[in-house]
Amino acid sequence: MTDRLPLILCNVATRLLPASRRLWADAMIAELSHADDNRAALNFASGCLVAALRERACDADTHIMATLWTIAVVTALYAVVQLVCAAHGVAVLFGGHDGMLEALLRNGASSTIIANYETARPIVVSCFLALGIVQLTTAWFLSRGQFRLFATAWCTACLIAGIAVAIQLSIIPNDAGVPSEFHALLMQAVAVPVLLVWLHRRHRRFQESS
Amino acid sequence: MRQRRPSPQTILVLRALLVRATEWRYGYDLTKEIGLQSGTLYPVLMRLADKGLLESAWHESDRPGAPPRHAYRLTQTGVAFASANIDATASAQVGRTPVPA
Repeated sequence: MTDRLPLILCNVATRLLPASRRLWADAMIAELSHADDNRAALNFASGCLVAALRERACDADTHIMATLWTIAVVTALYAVVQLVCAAHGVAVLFGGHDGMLEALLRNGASSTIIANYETARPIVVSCFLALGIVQLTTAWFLSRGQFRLFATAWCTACLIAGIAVAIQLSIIPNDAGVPSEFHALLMQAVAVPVLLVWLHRRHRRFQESS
Repeated sequence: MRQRRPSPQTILVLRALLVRATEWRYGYDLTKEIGLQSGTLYPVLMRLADKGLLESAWHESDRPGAPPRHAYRLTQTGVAFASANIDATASAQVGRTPVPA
């Protein structure tokens, strides 16, 4: 096993190196057979692994994919939150405990507000369900680098979020004047495109400099 | 734009390659000669090759059954770059050396 360990390490290094550095991986493996002894070979192979990790960390494409995946994962987490909200809403529609209705009654909301709230509830729940699904789709397109489809899904998500917020705002404005999830949705709607534009510019700058 | 000065590790590699500038050198031999780990040497070689300062070629190994080795040497630009930077580093070191009283 110890005889094969240097070769295993070099093979791992080969897989870690970016595609543009494949020739260097072959060079490292070729040198392994010229090591003085097994200990020297292990030392050399460990160094190759470190070199491969360094190259991978410096690779522009890796940076871009890592950033895209981070944004996609955060978007997917947002989607999960929307789907949990939708699931809770569905439970309420089928007779589950409605904390919002309870709060409205406790605060002495008029019968018109209660009636409007109950009418709008299925629409808002549908909006959250649709928003969750569309945001999951958005995350998927982003992770695959399909930007046109991402942009379409993203605009759809913003539209659905806008409708959900507008409906809620028209019925039950909170103390600050907007529903509580408005800030989170707005932050996401602004942050993701800004991050993508920043990433695109950074990539272009890197290409121009190399 | 101001060009960054090479790192001390790069200077070591350049110095080793410049000593026998016309000869082809191998990665493992360079690690032994310079005393650098392969994890430091190879990224330096890659950068030098990216900048056109280093040329490489595959040579048949003198060991039977061993795969061809990747050999390196400085290009003409590389030789000029190495000479200039090694001289600059040496004079900077001289400048920093305290004058005995």
